[in-house]
Order: sequence, then structure tokens, then C-alpha cells
Amino acid sequence: MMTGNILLLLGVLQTLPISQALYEDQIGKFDWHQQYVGKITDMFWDQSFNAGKRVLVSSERHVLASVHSHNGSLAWRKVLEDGPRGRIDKTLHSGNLLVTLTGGGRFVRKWNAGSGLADWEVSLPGSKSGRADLVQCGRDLLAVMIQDAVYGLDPRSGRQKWSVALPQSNQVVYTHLFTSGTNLFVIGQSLGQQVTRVTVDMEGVVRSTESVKAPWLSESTQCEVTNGGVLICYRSEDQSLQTLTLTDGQVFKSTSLQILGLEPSEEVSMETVRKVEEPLIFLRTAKNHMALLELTNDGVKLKKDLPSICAAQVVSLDDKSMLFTLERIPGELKMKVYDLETGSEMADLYQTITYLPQHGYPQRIEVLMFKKRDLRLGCRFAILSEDYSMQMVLKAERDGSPGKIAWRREEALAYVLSVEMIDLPVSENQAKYEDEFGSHKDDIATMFMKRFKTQISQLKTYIQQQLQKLQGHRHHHHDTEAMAESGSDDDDEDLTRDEFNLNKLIVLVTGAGKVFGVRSTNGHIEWEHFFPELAPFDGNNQQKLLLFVQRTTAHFPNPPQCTVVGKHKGTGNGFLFSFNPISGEPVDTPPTGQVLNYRITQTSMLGELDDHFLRGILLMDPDNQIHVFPGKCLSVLKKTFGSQYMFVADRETGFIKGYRTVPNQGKFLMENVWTVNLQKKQQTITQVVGKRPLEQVHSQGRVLGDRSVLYRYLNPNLVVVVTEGEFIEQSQRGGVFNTINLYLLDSVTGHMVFHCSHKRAKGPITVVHSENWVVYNYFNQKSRRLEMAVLELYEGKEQSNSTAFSSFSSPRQPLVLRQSYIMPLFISTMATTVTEKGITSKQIIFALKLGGLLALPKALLDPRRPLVPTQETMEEGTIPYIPELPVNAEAIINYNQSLYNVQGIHTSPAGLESTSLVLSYGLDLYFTRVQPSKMFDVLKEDFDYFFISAVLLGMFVVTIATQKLSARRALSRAWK
Amino acid sequence: MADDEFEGGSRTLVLEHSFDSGLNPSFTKKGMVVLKSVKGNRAFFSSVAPLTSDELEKLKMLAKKNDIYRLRLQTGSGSSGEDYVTTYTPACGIMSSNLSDHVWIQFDQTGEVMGISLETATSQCVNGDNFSIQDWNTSVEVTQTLLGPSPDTQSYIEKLKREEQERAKGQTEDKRSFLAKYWMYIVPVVLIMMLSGGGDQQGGGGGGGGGQ
Repeated sequence: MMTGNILLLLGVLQTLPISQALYEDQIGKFDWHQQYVGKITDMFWDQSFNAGKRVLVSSERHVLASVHSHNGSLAWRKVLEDGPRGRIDKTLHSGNLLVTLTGGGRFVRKWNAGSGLADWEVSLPGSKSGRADLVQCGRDLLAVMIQDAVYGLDPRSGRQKWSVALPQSNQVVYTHLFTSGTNLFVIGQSLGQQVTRVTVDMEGVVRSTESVKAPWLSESTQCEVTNGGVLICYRSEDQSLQTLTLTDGQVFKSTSLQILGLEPSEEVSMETVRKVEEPLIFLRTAKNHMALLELTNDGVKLKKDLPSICAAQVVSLDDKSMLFTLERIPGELKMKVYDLETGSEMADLYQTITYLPQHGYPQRIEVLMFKKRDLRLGCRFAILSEDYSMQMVLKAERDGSPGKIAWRREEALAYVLSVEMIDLPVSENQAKYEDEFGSHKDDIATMFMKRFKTQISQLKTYIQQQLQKLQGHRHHHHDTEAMAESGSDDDDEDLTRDEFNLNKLIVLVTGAGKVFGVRSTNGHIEWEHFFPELAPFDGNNQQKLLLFVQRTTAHFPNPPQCTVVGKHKGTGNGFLFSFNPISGEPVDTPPTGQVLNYRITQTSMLGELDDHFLRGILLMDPDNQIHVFPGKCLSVLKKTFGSQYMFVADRETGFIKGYRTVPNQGKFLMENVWTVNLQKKQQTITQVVGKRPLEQVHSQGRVLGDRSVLYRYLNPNLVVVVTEGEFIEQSQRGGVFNTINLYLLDSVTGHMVFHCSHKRAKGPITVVHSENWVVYNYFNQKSRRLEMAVLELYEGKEQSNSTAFSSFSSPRQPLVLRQSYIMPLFISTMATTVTEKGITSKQIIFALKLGGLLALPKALLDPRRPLVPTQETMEEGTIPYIPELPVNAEAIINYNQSLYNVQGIHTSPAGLESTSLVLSYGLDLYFTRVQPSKMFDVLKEDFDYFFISAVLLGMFVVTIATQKLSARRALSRAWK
Repeated sequence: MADDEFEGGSRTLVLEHSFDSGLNPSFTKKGMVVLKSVKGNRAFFSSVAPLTSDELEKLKMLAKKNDIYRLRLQTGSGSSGEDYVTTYTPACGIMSSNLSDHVWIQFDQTGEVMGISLETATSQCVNGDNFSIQDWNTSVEVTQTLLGPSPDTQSYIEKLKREEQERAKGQTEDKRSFLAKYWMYIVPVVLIMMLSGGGDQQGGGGGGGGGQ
């Protein structure tokens, strides 16, 4: 018995493909990794020993990084803490000093700009209001302001020199810290009342506290402090600027925009000028209108109106101040430079730069001025654009040809919200074959001609290929300049399908409003579109942009088609963009996207394809009316409306409502047919997870140890609804605990198939819902650990309907097997692998907070794992129950390529049944492929073809020889 | 626990149904559901009245138009119209199963109604022109939110302890040679190595057809 146990245990462990590590030479062969920093908020040219060679950036995704200026690669990158603790309040860079203030004044860190290592870190109490500021005062003092105090730190060691409490810190919100001469000024605001100015000297002694009346201060008032010590506030209510000189001003001086001759608009913002001593500030009234203002004792003076300018900067070199301006004209950027003193244009610095329209307007430039060897002025500059991209111009224009973008970083890729992997189209020749079968009208003669032509062209390409082989490989020049000009950095082969359909085109939809087509082979961008007005749907802190595949590549000659569904930024109405995912060309919608005249409350896809294999999208508006996109699919809805159901989960009320489609006066309306009340008083709906549409499930059941079959409950309409809430413990100790509830709902009938709750458990919860199982994780507050629960649904030993599933006639209470496991590591998200036919066993991929992607076989998360293995369970092949899930280093599929802030993992089938493609997105993009059951359908690379053919040949020879021999023997026997 | 029982020993819920089609159907009382305890999974249904001939005609019309028969249940205090949970089933299913239906009511752990659903024996459509049964045969079943699974560390530790004890017992009396003691470990390892070696080649041969 014991022996049997061990034998079977070993057998089970052997069949489990837990390890699937790479060989060293396979690194980067099937996978690629792209690191991003997110939307850049601050940018400085490195002034330490790498002066001019690197750009230091900090981003809203809590990243501090150094970017090589020659190619845009990261010299180093520091990803700070998640959540509000890691938010960068201020980055300060001057000379060798690089200091960040993060987490609302909680941490001050000094970094080594060259290596990215932290020199010192100081922890401060932090600010309740979240406002904090940091300034450098001379060489020996860093001053940090948090809500109720100012601290003086030694920039060399971080040692605290002094601290001073700020007066009335419970009434006044301190917002700005400024240094001028030998004094520090702290500016506090009391809405509707006054501005408080606290003067502190360099020794940390409060010199004076004054308040200046400012009854106009409101939530929407923006204030900045300029060099020269002037506080300037913009009031959007009456479009006026209020200025106050910090050193001696007693009252605010008001100047209205109209007096300055500027057109007021909704989106006025201010950008401070730091590189010169004069009190100057930029005022932006539109995306392409700026103005340079000078602040004097009498108020605001217009220094220079900059109409049609979208980005500007004042730079000084050798006591000479220059104003750099960028203007966008179709296809190009015009850079003009003015001498700030005289106001005249410096013609020798004028240049034009090729600029692609898909980056929107440039928003900021950061210029580095230098003197060339011939003492002429030169400059290089980085441009930040509306689409979150960062671009670098190194070389000035020469010989009349426009200047070029040396490189660009598409930081929008750190905001991916939706992913689809699209099959590449078949090659031209194969397409011609398909064409032959596609049309039914041709007679025999034309069909013969077509076939003949196709075969001739095949022969031609074959000969061409052979000739090319003889000539040797053409050399590809990777010219960076050509790259920028063409807008695409690929000159490798066309987008055609490979033998095993492993290479795909990945469509990425980002929260920045940018849509990308990316090659899965190397991660290069094939095409991109930018929609400044596209915004994600926003609910419960979850951003969503929907991406629908309306037609796949399989329906030649009809091109594939995808559609992005989002929200229009200004009006909140629906926003659609439909395109061919391979070429990126718009289809059915204008190239700038289509704004609908209604809001979208729910979307779904039609169950049937139209005559051209297009799957329509159903859009539901707040009046429960149904719209079909594109309009030509309406005929499909007319035929199939009886089977179109939708449901809407309302987070505000806790109700989930199911709808069916009914025709009404030529339109289609959604009629509420079922309602579920999830008791908003106690809990909030946080997740609604359906299955992947058109999921392939190979096996209908599971063979048990006694050779009977347990049939799976495969309900395609099943959705998992997760709610989180709090409950009050009624025991003697009392206290408030979190609770999570899970509901499995049939979205057609509204039947609650299963519901369970976890007490003393907390989110965030990730749900993986596939086939007949649900895996979810939660934090157990009692045991203080992460747990992974699995539910598996079975119909039982008999199947209700083996051909089709109907929600109306299916068993209402399937068998729900459930078990829970301890997850030893914290995860940020998880996903399951999918394969072409669903035969390959599944893996679950966890994105660990540590940076790894851990792939575990689904067999480890099986509720049928027995505590005590018996003969029968061993026959079934279940692993004995161990509460903790195993984590071994070989199951980390991204080896040492750590991934930070993973937001999601997308998996997609490849043409090979054994292989599943994985893309993890978040701050980084990482693409790889996994083989959950190893490569059972491909010969190994080291397969011995020679040996096999030799054996075959040998057998053949032996067969013939023995045949001869036996014939001779039979003959001789017959003679006897 | 206090949550599972109701004041007065039982709780009554009013079940309403509708034979109307259209966006604003009107509901009439179908019957009462009497619950003793949510835990018991059983509830009793008392019908108010058999189907009137008017309702029967409406039901036949619904079935003919392939429309739906609706049910609803009041939740909470019932002060606003939003406080209903509703469900439906194809009307012809009701007729083909001879007015026998099965109602599920789902409760949460505090005893609030979350959802309701309706099941008929069959959802196939039959010709209902000479249908004349008027008595409902309704049964009600109740489910309550269960406690989710949690890792079973306790019994696993017990199992480990038991195994350790057994091993300790075994060790005291074992004085055999190395091979005699560990043959059961060695044989399977050798076997598996042999099998897996053979398996690879078999797999290779099989895949040869699609070869690269």
C-alpha cells in the first residue's frame, strides 16, 4: 500500500509540468520587455557629470528615472511605492542635487543622479492635506514644508537642522514654500478669506506672520509663486489675475485677462518660469495659445502674446535670456527663439522639426543650450506631448531640410486598458487560393484561369526566393533618422502569418486615448492613433475602455475589424473608433473617431454574424434604447433579437437588472425582465466578471477514479459578481471587519446559481472565470495572509443536454466543489492561459508584487484534491491536499525581468494547441509564450531526423530482403 | 443565531405575477410564501386563487407570442417600486409543464431577499389551444449565502502528525538492509526513468507527421 502511494505520488509529480524554465540562450528569443515611466510631470537635463547626456524625469506613476538623451533608453529607473505613499509631490534638481519629496511630505530622498541610488532618506510626519513643498536655499539648506511645519535639512546628510511649527495650521492650508534672499516664505490659503504669509529665516525662526485679505479664494483658484517672489493667482470666476509681492506686498492687485488683451477661456493654466530671475510666468489659455506675462509692482503686464504657440520655455545662457516657442503646423513644428530683452527673433536658432499628427499638441519643451566649438549657439530639446509621448530633437536643421526627432518614448503604453491579439493575414499567394473558393459565381473557365494564374505567381515567388537566397541576405540599415520620418521603426518582413500562427498583431487601447498596433514578435509599434477626446469609462476607480473584435482575420477577403468604445471627454457621450487592426486604417468611422449623441450604459455583441461575417455591437443608452454599430448589422438584430439579453449592475443602488430586447415602433428597446437586489446598505459591487466570449472547452466532463464521468456545468451566461462590505462583529470584542461576497449569476434568467461569503476578508479581489471554474483571491484579516479560493461547478453524473446549453432548462443548482489555499506571496493580478481548442491543461499566471510572473498549473487549484489520498483519487490523478501553494523559481516565466505595477495579464491562443501567448501590462509591457502541457505538438529542436530516417530506411531494406529470402525459401520448400 | 429565525416564528412573503406584455406590466397576487427558517431550505407556498379564465386567455396569448410570464417579490419595507426583485420564464414553459413551477428565493446571511428565480419542468413550447388546467402547482425552495471555503490547515497538520507518529513507530523495529528497506523508493524511480525515456521517443514519433 505504502509503495503504491509513493509510486503514484511520484507519477503525479512527474506528470505535473511545474517547471518550464528557459535555457540561457533562449532569453529574449520568445519574449520582450519594455519599460516605461508613465506620464512625465517633471523633466530636467542632468547637470551632474553626465551633463547633457541624460534627462531626469519624474512621472505621475511614481517613477523617477534617467533617460539617455542619445537613444531614449533608461539609464536607471526607480519605481516608488504604490498608492498615495509613493506619489511624487516635488522633484528638485540643481547641480549635483536630485531630491524628491513623496507621499504628501512623508519622505524626502536624495538620489545620486548618475546611478539612481538613494543617498539618504528622511521620514517626516507627512501632511494631512497632502500638500507639501520643497525648496533649496543656498548650498547648505533644504527646506521642506508639510501641513503644520517647516523643516530645514542638510542636503549632504539629510540631517534635520531645525523645524518650526506653522501657526494656525488647523485652519490654514499651506500650499507653497518659496525662498527669496535670506528668508523663506510659506503661503497658506483660507478659502473665501485670506492668504497667510509666514516669513521664516534661514535659522528656522519665524520672523512674521501676516494675512492678506483674499475673499475671492475658491476651490478652483490656481496659485503659483514666480521667481522674484510674486504670488499670482488665477480666478476662473471672473477671469482675473491677482498678484501679491511676497516681500512687502500688503494687498492683491487684480488684472483681468481682457485688459491684457487675452481671450479668456475655460482651460486657463499657469506655468512658472524658473530659469531666469525676473518674475515671469506663462499663461496658457488654450492648447495652442500662450502668453508670457511679467509681474511688476503695479500688477501684471503682457510681455509677449504667443498666439498659436503650444509650448514655450525661457532659457538663459551667459546672462542672455531667450524665449523658445513651438508652433504646430501640419506635419511640422516651427521653433522660433526670441531674445527676451530686445524682443527680436534670433534667426540663427529658427528651425522646423518633422512632427507626426498622432502626438497631438506639444505641451512642454525642455531646452538645453550650449555653445558649439565655433562659438555659435546650439540647442537640443525634449518635447512632451498631449499623448504622453516624450520626443527628443538633437540635431538642428541643416541645409533647409527640417530637423528630426531622434527618438520618442510612447509613455501612453504604461496606461494600457484593453488588449486583443489579432491573427496576421495569410500571405498573398494563399489569399489568392482563398479568393478562388470565396466566390461562387464564376464559371469553370474563369475558375481555371484563376487557378492557373495563382500557380504561375506561386512559381514566380518561389524562383524569386531562390534567387534572393543565392544573392545572400539584403542588409537592413537601421537608420534612426529614417525611423522618425516614416513614423514606423520596422523595415522587417510584411505582416503575414507564420506557420504556427504564433506571431500576432497586438492591439493596445490606452487610457491616454491612444490606440496602438504592436507586433508580437518584437514589440515594435506598427501603427498608432491618438484621440485627444477619447476618455475611459470610469466607475469605482476602475477605468475601462472597451475593445471589440468585430471580424477576425479568418474571413478573407473581408478585412478584420476592431472597434474601440469609450467616452467623449467633453460631453460624456459615447465615442467609437473602428479600424482594421492589421493596417490601422479607420473603417466605418471617421479617422478622428465618431462621437455619438447619447451616453452608453451598457454594450454587448450580437450573437450572430452578418452576411459579411461582421459581428455588430449593441449599445444601450440611458433610455434603454438599443443602437447597433455599424448600422448595417441592424438586420441581424431584427432576426435574432429574441436571444439578445443584457444586464446592468448599478454600483450606486446595488441592483442588478437583466434586460431582453423587444422591438418597439421600428426601434429596439431593452425591457427589464429580472432584478436582483444586492443590498447596497451592507456592501458595494466591486467586480463583475464574465467568461471570455466564444471560449473553447474541449472536455465536457471529468473522468473519476471509478471510471464514471462528472459532467461540467458549462454555462456561457454565467457571471461572477463580487461585493465588498463591512460588518460589525457582535462578539464581546466587537469591531468592524470587512467581508466579501461572491455571487454566481445566470445573466439571462437572473438565477443565482451559487452565493458564498467570506467573513473577515478584504479585497482587492481578482477573479479568474473560465470553463466551469472560478478562482479568486482575498486577504484573510484573521490569519493575515492571502488566500486563493476555487469553485468548480458540475452538473453531476448525468448531463442535462449534451448538444446545446439553455439557461432556461439547465440544472438550477449545480454541484459546487470548493476549496481554498494559502498563497504565500502577494499578487497584483492573475489570469489563465487559453489555447486554440482548449485541450491543453490550464495554467494560472499570477503577477507577483515582487515583480515576477508565476505560472502554476490549474491542477494545484483543484477542489478535488484529497486530504488523504486513496486508490481512487490517485487513479483520477489529483494531487494530495497541501494548504500552501508551492512557489518555485522555475515557474517564474519572466525570469529576472521584474515587472512593476502590473495592471493586467492578457492571454491569447496561438495556432499551436500547446502554446498560449501572454502579455502583461502595467508600467511595463512583457510578452512571452507559455506551454502549460509542454510542447507536445512540436518536435524538439534536437530531434534526430537522421536517426529516424536511417531506421526507417533500414526497416525498408530489411523488409525487402526478408521478402526475397522468404520467397526463395517457399520456392525451395515447394520443390521438395 | 438570531438572524436565522424570524419574530413570531415565521415570515410571510407576497409573491406577485403578471400576464401582461409591454414595458409596464401590472402585477396581481399569486400567493404567499411562508418561511419558518432560512436555514431549512424549505418554504411553504399557499396559492391565493386558481387561474381565472381571463388570466388563462392572457397566458395562452403570451405563449402564442412567445412572450414571458413574470414573477416578483417585495423586499425590504416596500416603500418604493424599486424594492422588488423580479424574474421571468417563457410563458409556454408554464403551459407545457401544466402550471407546475418551482420558485427559488435567495437570501443573504442577514435574511434579506436578494433574488428570485423561476424554473419549469420544461421550457419547450406546446400547442396550448385546448389547455384548461387552472390550479397552480407551485413549490418554493430557499437558499442562503454559504460560508466560503477556507484553507484546511488543521486537518493537514493532524495528518502530518499522524504520519510522523507512524514513521516513529516504524523506525524502532526496522533493522533491515538498505535495499530491503528502500526498494520501494528505488524501483519506482528506475521505472519512471525508463518510462519517461521511452515516452519521449514515442511522443517524437507521433508528432513526426506534422513535423517541422
